[in-house]
Amino acid sequence: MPAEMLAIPVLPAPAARPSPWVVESIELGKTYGERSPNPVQALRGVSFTVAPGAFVAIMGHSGSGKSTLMNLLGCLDRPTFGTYMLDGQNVSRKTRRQLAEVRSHTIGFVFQGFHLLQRLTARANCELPLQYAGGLSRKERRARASEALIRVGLQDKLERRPTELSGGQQQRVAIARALVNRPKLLLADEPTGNLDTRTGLEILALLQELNSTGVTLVMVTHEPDVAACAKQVIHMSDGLIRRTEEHAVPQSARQALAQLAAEEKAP
Amino acid sequence: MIQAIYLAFQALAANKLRAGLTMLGTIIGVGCVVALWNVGLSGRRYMSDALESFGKNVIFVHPRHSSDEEDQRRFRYRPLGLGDVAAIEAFCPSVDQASPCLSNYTKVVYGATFRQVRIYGCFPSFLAIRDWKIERGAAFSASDERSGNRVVLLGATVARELFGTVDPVGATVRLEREPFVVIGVLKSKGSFFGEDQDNVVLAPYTSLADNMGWGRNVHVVFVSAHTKESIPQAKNEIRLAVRASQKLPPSRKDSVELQDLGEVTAMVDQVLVGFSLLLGAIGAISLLVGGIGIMNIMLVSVTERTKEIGLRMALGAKDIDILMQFLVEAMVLGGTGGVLGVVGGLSTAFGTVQILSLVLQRPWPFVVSIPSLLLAVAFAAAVGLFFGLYPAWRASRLDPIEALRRE
Repeated sequence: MPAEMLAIPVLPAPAARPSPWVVESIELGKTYGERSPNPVQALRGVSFTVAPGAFVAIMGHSGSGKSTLMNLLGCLDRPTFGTYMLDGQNVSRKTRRQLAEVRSHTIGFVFQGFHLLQRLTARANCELPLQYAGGLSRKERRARASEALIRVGLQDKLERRPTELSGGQQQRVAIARALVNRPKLLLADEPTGNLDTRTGLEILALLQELNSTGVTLVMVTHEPDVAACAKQVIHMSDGLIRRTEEHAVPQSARQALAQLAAEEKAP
Repeated sequence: MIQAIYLAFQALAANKLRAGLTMLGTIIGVGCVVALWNVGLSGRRYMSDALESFGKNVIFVHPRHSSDEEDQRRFRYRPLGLGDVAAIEAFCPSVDQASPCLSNYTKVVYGATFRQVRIYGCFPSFLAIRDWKIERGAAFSASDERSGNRVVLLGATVARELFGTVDPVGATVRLEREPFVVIGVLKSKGSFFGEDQDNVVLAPYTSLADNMGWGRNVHVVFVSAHTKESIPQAKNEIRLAVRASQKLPPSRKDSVELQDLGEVTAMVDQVLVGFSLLLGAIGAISLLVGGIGIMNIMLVSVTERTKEIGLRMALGAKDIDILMQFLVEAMVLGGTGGVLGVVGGLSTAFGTVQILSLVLQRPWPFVVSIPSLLLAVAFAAAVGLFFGLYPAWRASRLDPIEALRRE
C-alpha cells in the first residue's frame, strides 16, 4: 500500500472537553526520511487509548516500532500523520518549544540506562524537572524532590551521588525524578533492562505500587515476564498493533519476589 | 541565575585541568591588559610627580653642538655668555626668570669624607626656577652672588652622606681644595628619571666663575616661563633674543638648542603609548586565542555531554534553557579567566612598579583603577559569551532522541 493512502488527514482539533483518556492515539504514524528515495515506515498508523490509572505494556521485538511509538508518546518527536491527544490536548503539531513545555508538565520519563547526572546528588537530580518547569521556590523544589525520593523508598539516600548507589537505587532515583512534577503519564522505556531479575522485580513492584496510587503508566519492554505485570499489553510488530491483551489480574511483582526468595532458600 | 553559575562552576570543576588550560589564553590576555593599564597609570602619575619636582615651566638653553664638516670628531659650538642671559631676561616678555649655570661633576669634601656631586654655579633665581625649597639655613643672596662669596647650598643626599645627623649649616666643605661655607640645605626632590636630584651642590655663579677660575662661561641657562602655555612663545622669544645678542646673520642657523619638559613628557608618553600598543596587541591576540580555546572546549563539552543534553530536554528543558546553560558555562570560563588574569596582571604591575622604583630611585606610585579591573573581567566574560554562542546554539538545537541514544 502506498504511503499516501495510509496518511489520513489531521483531524481538526476537537473543542475543549474533558477527555476520558490520558492518551488517545489516532492512526498515529511515523515515516523516517519521507523525502528520501526509500523512506522507512517505522509506525504505520496505530490507534489505542490509555485510561487514567492504566498500566500498559507495549511489547515487540526491535524494529517493531515500539521505540518510535514511545518517542511520540513522550513528545520527543512529532508524528508524520495521525493525531495524538495527550491529556485532552492535541500535541501532534506542536512546536519544539511547546513540546518541551508538555514534557515538562505532563510526562515523566524512566529510561533503561537510568540517565542520572553523575555530578549531582539524588535530590539535585530530582530537582532538575522542577527547575525547567519553573514556578517553585528553591525551598519548595527541595521539599518536592525529597518527597519524591521518600516515595520510592530512598529517604536515607537524599544526598548520595549516583556512583554511590546501586543500579536498583539509581533507577529509583530516576523514578522519583519522573514523579516529581506530578505528571499525567509516566513513560518507562525498558526500566528493568539493565537490572538483574531480583532488582528488576523490585522496580516493577514499585511501579505497580505507584500505579495502584493512581499513576498512569506506559512501559515498553520486550520481556514477557515484565509485560505480565501490566494490566494491559499491546503487542506490536512492523509498525502496527497486532494484538491487545487485558490482564484481569496482572502478575504481582511482590509475589514473584517472595517466590524468588523462597526458591533461593529451598535448594 | 546564581544556581546556573554554581552549576557551571561544578561542571567546570569536574575537569579542572582542562578548564585551567582553556582559561590560560584569557588569563594571559586579561593579565597583559591589566598589567599594562596599571603600569601605564602608575607611570603617568610618576611622570607628573617627577615633572612637578623638577621645576615650574622650565626651559633649558644649551649651545648647539654641530659637528665639523671636515673632521667629524671635532665639535664646534658657539658658547653662551652672560650677555645672552641678560638679553633673555630683558627682551622676552613670556620669560619670568633666567639663571646662567656652570655645571660640573666634582668632589665635595668634608673632613675625611667626600662625595662626587653635581655642582651648579647659578644665580639666586635658580632656586625659584627649579622650585627648590630650603630645608635648613638660608639661600644665598644677590650680594653673595655679586661678591662671589664662597658659600654653598647642599642637596639632601649630600648633606646626609657627608654630615649624617650633624647640622651642616655653618660647616666648611671643600670644593677642589677651596673652602666653602655651608649656608643651607635644600629640601629633597627625589630622583628625576634615575638621576638623584638631591645629589647636588649649589654655589653662587661668580664664586665658581671668578674665584674658582672656571671662567664666565655659561654651560646652560635655566629659564622659567610665566605659564605652561607660554612655553612655546617663550622659546621663540629666547631664540630671537639670543640671535640678536649674538648678532647672528639671518643665514646662520640658531646657535642654541631649547628644551623643555614638554618634550620629555612627549617622549615618555610616546614610549608609554608604544608600550601600551604592544601589550594591548598581545592582550588582544591572547583574548582571541583564549576565546577560540573556549569555543573549542565548549564544542568538545557539548559533544561529550550530548546525552546529558538529551536527558535535560526529555525532562522539560527548552532550547533556551540548554542555550543558557552552555552560555553561562562559557561566560564563567571567560570570567574566571578574567579574574585570574586581573590577579596576575595586578601582581605583575605591582612587581614592575617595585622594580622601577628601585631602578629610578624614586617611589613609583602604584595606581589601581577598580572600574578598569571590573571592565577587564566583564570583557573576558563577554569573550566567553561570544565564543560560547556557537557551541551553545549547537547544543540547544540537538534532537533529544538522537542525543539520548548517544553514548
